[in-house]
Amino acid sequence: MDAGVSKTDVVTADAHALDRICKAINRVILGKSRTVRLALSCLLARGHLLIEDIPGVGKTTLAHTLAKVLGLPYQRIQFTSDLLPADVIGVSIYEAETRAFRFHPGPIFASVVLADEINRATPKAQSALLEAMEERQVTAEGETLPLPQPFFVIATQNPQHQIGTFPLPESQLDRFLMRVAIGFPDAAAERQLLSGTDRRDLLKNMSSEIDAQELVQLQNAADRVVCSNALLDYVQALLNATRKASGLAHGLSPRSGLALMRAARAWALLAGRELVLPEDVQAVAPSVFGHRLEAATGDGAEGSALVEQLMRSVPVP
Amino acid sequence: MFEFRSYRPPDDAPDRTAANALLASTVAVFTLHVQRLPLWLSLVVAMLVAWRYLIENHGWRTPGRMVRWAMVVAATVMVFNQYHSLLGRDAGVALLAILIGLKLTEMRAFRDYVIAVFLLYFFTLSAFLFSQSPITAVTASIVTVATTVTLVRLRNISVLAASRSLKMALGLLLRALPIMLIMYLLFPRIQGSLWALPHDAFGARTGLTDRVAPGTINRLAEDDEIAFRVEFDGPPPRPDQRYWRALVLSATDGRTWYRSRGSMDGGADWRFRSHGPPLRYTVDSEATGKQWMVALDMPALPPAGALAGPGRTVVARTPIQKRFRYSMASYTSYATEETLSAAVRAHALRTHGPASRRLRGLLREFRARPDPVEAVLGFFRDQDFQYTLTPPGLGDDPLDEFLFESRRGYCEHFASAFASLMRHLGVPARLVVGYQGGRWNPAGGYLIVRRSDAHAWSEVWRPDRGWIRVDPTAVVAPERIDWGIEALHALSAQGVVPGQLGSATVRALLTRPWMTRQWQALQLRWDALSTTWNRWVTAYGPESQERLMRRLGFAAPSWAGMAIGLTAGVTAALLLVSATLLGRRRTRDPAADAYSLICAKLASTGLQRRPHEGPLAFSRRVGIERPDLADEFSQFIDLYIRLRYGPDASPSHMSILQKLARRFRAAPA
Amino acid sequence: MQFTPNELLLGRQRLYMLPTSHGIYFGLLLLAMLLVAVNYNNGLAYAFTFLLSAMGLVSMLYTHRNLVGLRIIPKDADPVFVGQLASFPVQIDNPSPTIRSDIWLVSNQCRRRMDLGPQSHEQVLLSAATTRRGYLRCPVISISSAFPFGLFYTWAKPARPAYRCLVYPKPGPLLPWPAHFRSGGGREPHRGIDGDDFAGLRAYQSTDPPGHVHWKAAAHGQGLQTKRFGGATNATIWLDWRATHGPDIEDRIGILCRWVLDADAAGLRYGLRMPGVELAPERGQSHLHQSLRALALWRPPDV
Repeated sequence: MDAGVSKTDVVTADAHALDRICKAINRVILGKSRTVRLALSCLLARGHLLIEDIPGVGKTTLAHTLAKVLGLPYQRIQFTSDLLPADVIGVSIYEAETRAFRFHPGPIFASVVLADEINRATPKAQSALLEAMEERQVTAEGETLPLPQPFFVIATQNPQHQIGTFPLPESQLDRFLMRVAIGFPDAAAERQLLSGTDRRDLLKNMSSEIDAQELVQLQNAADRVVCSNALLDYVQALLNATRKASGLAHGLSPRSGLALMRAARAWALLAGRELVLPEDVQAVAPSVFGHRLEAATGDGAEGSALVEQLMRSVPVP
Repeated sequence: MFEFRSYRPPDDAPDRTAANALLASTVAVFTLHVQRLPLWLSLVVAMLVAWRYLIENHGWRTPGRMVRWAMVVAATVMVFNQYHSLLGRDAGVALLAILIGLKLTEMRAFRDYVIAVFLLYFFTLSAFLFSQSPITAVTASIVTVATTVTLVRLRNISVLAASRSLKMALGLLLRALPIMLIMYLLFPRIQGSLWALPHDAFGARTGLTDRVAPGTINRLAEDDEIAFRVEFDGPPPRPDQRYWRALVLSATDGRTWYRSRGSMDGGADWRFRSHGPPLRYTVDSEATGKQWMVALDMPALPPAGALAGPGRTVVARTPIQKRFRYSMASYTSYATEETLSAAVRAHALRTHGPASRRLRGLLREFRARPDPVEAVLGFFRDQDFQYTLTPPGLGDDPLDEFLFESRRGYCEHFASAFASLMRHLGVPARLVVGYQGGRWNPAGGYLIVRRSDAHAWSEVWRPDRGWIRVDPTAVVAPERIDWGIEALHALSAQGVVPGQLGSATVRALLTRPWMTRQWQALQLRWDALSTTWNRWVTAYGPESQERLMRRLGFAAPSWAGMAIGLTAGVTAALLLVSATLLGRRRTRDPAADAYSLICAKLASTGLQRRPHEGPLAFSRRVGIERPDLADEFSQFIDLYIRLRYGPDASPSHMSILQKLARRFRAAPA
Repeated sequence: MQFTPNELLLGRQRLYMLPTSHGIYFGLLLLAMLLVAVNYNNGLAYAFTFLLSAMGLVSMLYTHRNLVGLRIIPKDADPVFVGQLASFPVQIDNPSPTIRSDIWLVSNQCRRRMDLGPQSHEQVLLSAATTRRGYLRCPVISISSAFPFGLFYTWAKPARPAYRCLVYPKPGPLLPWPAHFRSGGGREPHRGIDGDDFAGLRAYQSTDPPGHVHWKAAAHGQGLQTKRFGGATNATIWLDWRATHGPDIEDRIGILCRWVLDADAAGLRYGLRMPGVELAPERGQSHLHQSLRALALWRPPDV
């Protein structure tokens, strides 16, 4: 960082870069600026992203666009029921010339991994990916290989009740910082979509807006966003409310609280602020808490609806 | 739906640790009494404490009912044997001690433990009937903390660590202190007792007596007990004016001087022909057990509540049984205006027995001189009379023997000899007994007069001036008057005969080594402390209370007024304590206060912030619903966000924020 | 779902205080002490008497502080069958930075003493006997304390929170399957002892055969669980009110309850049909709950 540049200038510079990125994505993903910002703040907070929606609303397109814009090398894994862990991590093959096994890295050794339809794979294949996500390294043939930095997993999945799926267990859902849905586009966006060119062509012609180093710089800037005591009080009140609530299977863990703080910081940075407001927390909470809350009766109450209810019941100090 | 039903938590029997804590505090409380209790009693109680200890810790059995009753009877008999009574202070305390010991051995249920603690509190109180010194108070405070810790632990032994019980008891006692102070100062005090006190209510006292023979006052020369202390409104009088009048004696049998019946010692006429400026002072008298009170020569009027005694002395209505303060005024230069009735005159001239031959010769010499007073004083000064702390005893005719043979005496020798000579010479004379001198305490700004300062001097009647003071001691030993009795002790220890040396030499002889001076200064400081103590504890009574009330601005408060004041004071103190105890600990952010203020102002116009609405969202809504307020409010919110949620902590910004909130005016939409 | 739970906040208005018998004795002791002080005109005795009086007064504040601000957070109890004890979880929450000691939580059937550290909470199970099916209200809760001296005690206005326990009917005696099932279907399914395929675990119910309890898990402290065995059967069964007989409604409900449990244990798809109630055939934990709930709450329709 240049010594002559003052702090506010850095914030402005970051804001400009983020603005460019958002605009670029919004050219491809029409009418979904809020979802785009959520996804972006997830990546800025160094978290993995889970996109959940019905087929055909543009999950994969969003994941592709994100990877492209951030200018990171990416790999795509299509999860199917016959996918094996080796297909994700890589495999050791005997080479005749060297008379030794050589490890051929799998698609996971990329900065951005698109895990498409993750709930179609068997739990074995799922956990191979999820373990790598958590530890940011891969152990194969007794050897530990670090994954590249930065490392993101953008996974997509179909809603749980679709037939032929293996829902991710709760403990593994926790590895995703956010779960976002895309939903149907509004009328104007849909019309533009229908009349415009194919999104895939647009994607192909897309160029990256920033490089890896700039991304790291943005991530660091997100870490520096200030969280005051008043805000911590609010977050604690939210967590406590889930622990005292009746009708929840369990309260939220401290790790969920940490995830919320990280996401809120990134969201505040995206809004061009250097401090976190309760509004930032409220904006990211449905995505961060949605897949972590579960109704006790198991009557399938949607997690993000629970979070909306939570937000309404806890007063801002 | 709701029912009114109180539920009282059960009282589970305390466990062994609680019992041990109780035993420890019993031992602590007994330290207050052990020096006064008879040895056998202390041993019995120690045995009972040890028994309980063995019951608790080594599985001994509690004594049966028969054993307990036998112990009660035996102890009662022994107490009666010791004190010949079961009533009164000393026997009562002994019985209480036994009762506590027996209670310890039979404790079973929670209630027994509580009663034992209550008995310990009462036992602590009874120690004050023997001593009210600051040391007793400090010891009792420590003991009370121990007892209170025990009371806390009886219920909560399993939960609270010992250190937390201590902290808790201390916190409770400290919070009780201000309330106690208000009760102590404002609770209406009454004079005297509710019922007759047992005969041993106050211990025996010695000191000045109303019968003076050669050697009576001399006996007090070594008595270091403090007789009284005096605070002066202005500067203290010179040492040679510090004559403290207590008794006037005009009857004599030749050896002993004593008070006369009726008004023969002088009438109650308090008029003055002339006098200098008055000297106002407050006497803080120790208990004497006597009725007479001391007053600086010459008192102007008896103080409020006291009576005029014979010969311008001051007399209390009842014997002074406890420390007692009174204020009065005196004139150090005066001429009295009174008449001498024939009867009193005759009484004041009465001599005992015929004069010896050599006395008659001496009297003839005196009569030849123009002024008999000067003649006699000159005789004392010029002949080889000696003032001594150890005068020899006198035989059948003390006056003759003293004048012609021993010629060594203490103040009462000279004063009584002088008065007798005056009577032989036809001048009415009498003896005055009291104190002379006193030591100035610079630490407390008051004069300490001890029993050793006791003194006797004479008064003679002069038709033109009334009764005037003549002190022959001042002629024989001026050091006694100028330096005080302590100086005489020091001088005689060095073998110096009083009245022989110049004052410079005396001063040189009296200069003490540095260490001694420091030690004396320290003693004076301690005395100042205990004087303050006495003023507020031992001598605090109706008069002091009235003085305090007057100083606080309530003139002559009635009982009802005091009761109201007491209740109001205690309530106020209790509220304050409850604020410290129940109030919110966390100090709120001033930015949060400003925000609630401005939100309240907006709410009054019908624009209510939703509980879950963040500041920015609210500001946006205000902008939509009340565009007229948008600018002002968003300016506030920008600053508020920086102060509450950002790293900005500058006090100047905070005060701007507070100003914005105060000045914000929202007209109803 | 409630994020602002129906909690009882022990506010000032909710708390009462009275002296205990020891408190009254203490008052008498103070009176005796005051008499001694007045009679002997003894300054220190006055001071000591007033110190103890003030201490008594301040201890009232301590007693009050010991309960004030606590929160009682009751919750719904897990469903039980008639005859079993319903346990209502009650959480006592101390949000303050001070320790609260010697607190008694009392309902008509049990009482518990507890101490709460700063910012901590404690959970108590209040048990209540169940005698009939349907909802059982949470028992009346009262809370009291005599901390620190036992001279005064404070208690909160007893409250009956709006929480409840669903009480399932008592399962009837073992009976053959409904007649129409036997006649309609070909093979009578085994009574849940279809030993072929392990189909998972579920919480133990008192009606489960001991042989199916997953003892290994129980030995690891995971509580009693029952192994479920799903047969190859895919049979569907209707449990019908009309198939039960008897004069007493409760007995007939008990029979249905038994059938529901058996059908669930056998891994059947079962439906429930009663006057006014019809549950479509389904299987699984939540269907079991739905069926038992329907039985527990069923009232004969007005004729």
